[in-house]
Amino acid sequence: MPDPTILVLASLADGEKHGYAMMEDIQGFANVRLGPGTLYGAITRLEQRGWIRPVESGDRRRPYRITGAGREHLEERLASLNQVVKTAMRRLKHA
Amino acid sequence: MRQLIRWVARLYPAGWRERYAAELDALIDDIQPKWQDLFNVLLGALRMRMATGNCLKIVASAGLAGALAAGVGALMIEDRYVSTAVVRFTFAGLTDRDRQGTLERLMRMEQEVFSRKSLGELMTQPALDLYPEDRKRMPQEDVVENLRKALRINLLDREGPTSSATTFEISCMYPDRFKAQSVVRVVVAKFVEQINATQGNQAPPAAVTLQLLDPANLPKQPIFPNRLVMVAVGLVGGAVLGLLAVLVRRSAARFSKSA
Repeated sequence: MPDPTILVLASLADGEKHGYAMMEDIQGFANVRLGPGTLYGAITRLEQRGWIRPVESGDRRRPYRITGAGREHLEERLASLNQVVKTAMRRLKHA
Repeated sequence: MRQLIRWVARLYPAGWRERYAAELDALIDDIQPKWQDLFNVLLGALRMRMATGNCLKIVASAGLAGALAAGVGALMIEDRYVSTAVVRFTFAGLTDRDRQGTLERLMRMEQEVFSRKSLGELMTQPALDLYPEDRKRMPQEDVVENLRKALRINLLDREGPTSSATTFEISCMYPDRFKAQSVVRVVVAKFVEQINATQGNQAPPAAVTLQLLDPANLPKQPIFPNRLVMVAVGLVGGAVLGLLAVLVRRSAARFSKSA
């Protein structure tokens, strides 16, 4: 399974979402169902690192938004993943 | 299930619960919870405990996780009942040589009763209809082998080579207690048939008789699985693993401090 923190950051890249919305979104684009424990483990780590921030809300379903540092981290990780994908695709073509 | 997940979510450290419990609770309300979610929340709580410390709580949580996993596993295992009958073979008026021959004949009878053909017929008797699912997906030989393993004939006593009687226990283990009892009854009846069929070779006092000391009982309790023992093993196993995890984590912390 891909790193849940990357999946959460990718989910928040296009706007704020609460836990259930992230879960549904991730299932939709990555075909991965994050369990509640995994999702909130990732949210906890991301918040501690300052990569996401909770949005003030009176609801129990508190939304989160990606921070500038989080966006930067996601871009770095995606660039690195992209490099791996490109290399693998090139090697597969030449094999 | 939601209630169970909420209860397990209490294993998260207090500080974490203060911050995220309401959100996690809302998420549990929103999803269609499954067993995997229960274990997922349990693992999440354990990870969070590992991250925040408190050896005793980690060990307790790991023990609880082990007990829960073992409990779920135990519930998924089919019950096994054992029915037993006790029979006595008496060899009246036989010489020592004849007695030896008779014992050998009994062994042949056992082989006949337990033969593939005999067990195959027994299994497919409409009144018994044993292992119906296995028979659909497995070769007949394998299902017969399973039945052979489920059947036991144990020698209970033999009062020496000159004894005029031998006592056996015939038992069958099966998920359905009524069928376990029926199988033992049928096996006993097969022995009676075999004895009657060979009785013509022996003159009357020198005959083998079969006496049913205890008819096949209807078991009340399954002999397997012992769910309580499984949960206890899960609890202890989980706690030991939790303790190991704490020790590994402390060693790693010591190592990183000294490096």
